[in-house]
Amino acid sequence: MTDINNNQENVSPEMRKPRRPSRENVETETQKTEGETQVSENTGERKPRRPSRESVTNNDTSQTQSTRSSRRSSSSRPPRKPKKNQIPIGIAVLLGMIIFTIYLSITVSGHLALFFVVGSAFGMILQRARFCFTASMRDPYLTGSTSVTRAALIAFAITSIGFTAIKYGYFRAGLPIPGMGFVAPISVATAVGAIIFGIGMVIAGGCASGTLMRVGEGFHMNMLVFFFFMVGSLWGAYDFGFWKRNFMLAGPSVFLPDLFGWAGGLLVNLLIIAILYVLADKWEKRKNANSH
Amino acid sequence: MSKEVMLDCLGEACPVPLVKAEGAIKDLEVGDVLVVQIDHSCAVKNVPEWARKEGHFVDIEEVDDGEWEIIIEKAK
Amino acid sequence: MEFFNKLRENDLYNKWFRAPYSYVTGAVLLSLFQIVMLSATGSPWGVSATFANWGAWLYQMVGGSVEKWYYFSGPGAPGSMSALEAGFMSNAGTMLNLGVIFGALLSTLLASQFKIKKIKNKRQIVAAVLGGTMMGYGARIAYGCNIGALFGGISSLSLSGWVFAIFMFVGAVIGSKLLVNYFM
Repeated sequence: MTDINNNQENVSPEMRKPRRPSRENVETETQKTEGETQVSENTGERKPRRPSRESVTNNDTSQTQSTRSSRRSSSSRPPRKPKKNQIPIGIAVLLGMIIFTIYLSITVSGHLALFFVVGSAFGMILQRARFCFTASMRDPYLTGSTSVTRAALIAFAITSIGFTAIKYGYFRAGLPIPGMGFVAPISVATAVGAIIFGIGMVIAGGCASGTLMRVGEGFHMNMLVFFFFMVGSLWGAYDFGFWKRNFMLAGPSVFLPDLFGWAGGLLVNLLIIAILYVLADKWEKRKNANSH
Repeated sequence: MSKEVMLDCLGEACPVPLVKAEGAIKDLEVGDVLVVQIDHSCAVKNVPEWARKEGHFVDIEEVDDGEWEIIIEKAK
Repeated sequence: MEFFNKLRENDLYNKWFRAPYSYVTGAVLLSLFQIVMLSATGSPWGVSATFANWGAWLYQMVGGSVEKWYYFSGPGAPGSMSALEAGFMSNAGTMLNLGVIFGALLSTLLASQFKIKKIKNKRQIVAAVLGGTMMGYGARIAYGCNIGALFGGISSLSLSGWVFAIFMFVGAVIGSKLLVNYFM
């Protein structure tokens, strides 16, 4: 199943209809049972989707009813209240960021400004695509959805191809290979740290990049997470000597090309990714079949 | 008679809206409508994705800046 | 203002700045900028190592000292005192992280979807304190977070990335159980 790129913003009154396309997908399945009545019942405008108020009063307390009806009138056809337009503020922020970039390149260095620009690009991409590494690890278990997981695997595949090409270029030129600091020693500390990190990110509702992104999106909760992320980092840095002496020093750092050669190392990496992709795909289908 | 149930997930981060919606839709009859109120941009993507995959009818309404209602009609 | 309202209704603007991209589009774009990072700066993208520096600066502000810590001064240690001494404004990781925050802010504003989301209940506070601290500690002893150790590690053809991935998944499963049982 492909990723759904839902255009949730197209909700101007006339755009009510997009809801029907999604209906057609299921029509084939539902038609045999109650689909007939469903379809005929719902071909009208909006009413059938939001059941009549009488039935609501029967089912709900009158208090929610009153808020609901007011909400409904605000969101039903023409009298939708105009939203505030935040685009001008966005453009002001953009200008501020440009000025900050120029300021950095003049007062410190253009290279430092580059980090700010690339960071902004990461922030925008994460927010635009709602890309979430937490979801990539959590959703397969929690909801059975693997669309984010598969996207993350695609990112790993593309990036490892690019990285390997760059590193190979340095290797060919006889230069020290860049980014080797990210080939970390494998030890109990890796396992313990990853488990603790995994638990923390699901509870906190965002990983490291996700926390930053949500701070930008205005989540107070993630600002708190952010502060305690720093506290935890400091605590981890304090204990780092202990983990280093007892575990990390004995842990091997394994760079796949050292074992399999450049092409072999990349292929092994891509093979693992491909296997995981297939598993993720199968897992989602199995979960779906079970739930129906 | 079909009914409409509101699920207030404002201020909730992933995956809470999705898990709550999954729970809420179980208690509904076919034809009932679940309206999930959300202000978490990621949930606007994953709740409809899940609901469509389950075969329900889904509609998303942008109620306010950064606030959405996801309207799910239980289909099976 | 009229112009901006028209802009918001514009199809192309909607497609680029308002409607969410697919996850795969995001994956491709993230990969592109990861490659930009490695080729232009000699290092993949990292997030959480900077948090340790920020934590250290905060700690110094309240009178603490980290000079004797292995993490900042030991042989082959990931942190460095010279980076701390250079200060907040000349730190590359700081700029990356500020960029992510402001990039996300910019993106929501341009979509006209910004909203301050207040903390709803005590449960969220407990979750934030616990989750944040655990992520911080875990990332330090595992040589990175989901970006540095997972994304950067796997893409750097390091076996450590895969080990991190397996155990991060285990953690995510445990975390999901905790979340559903205690934090919802």
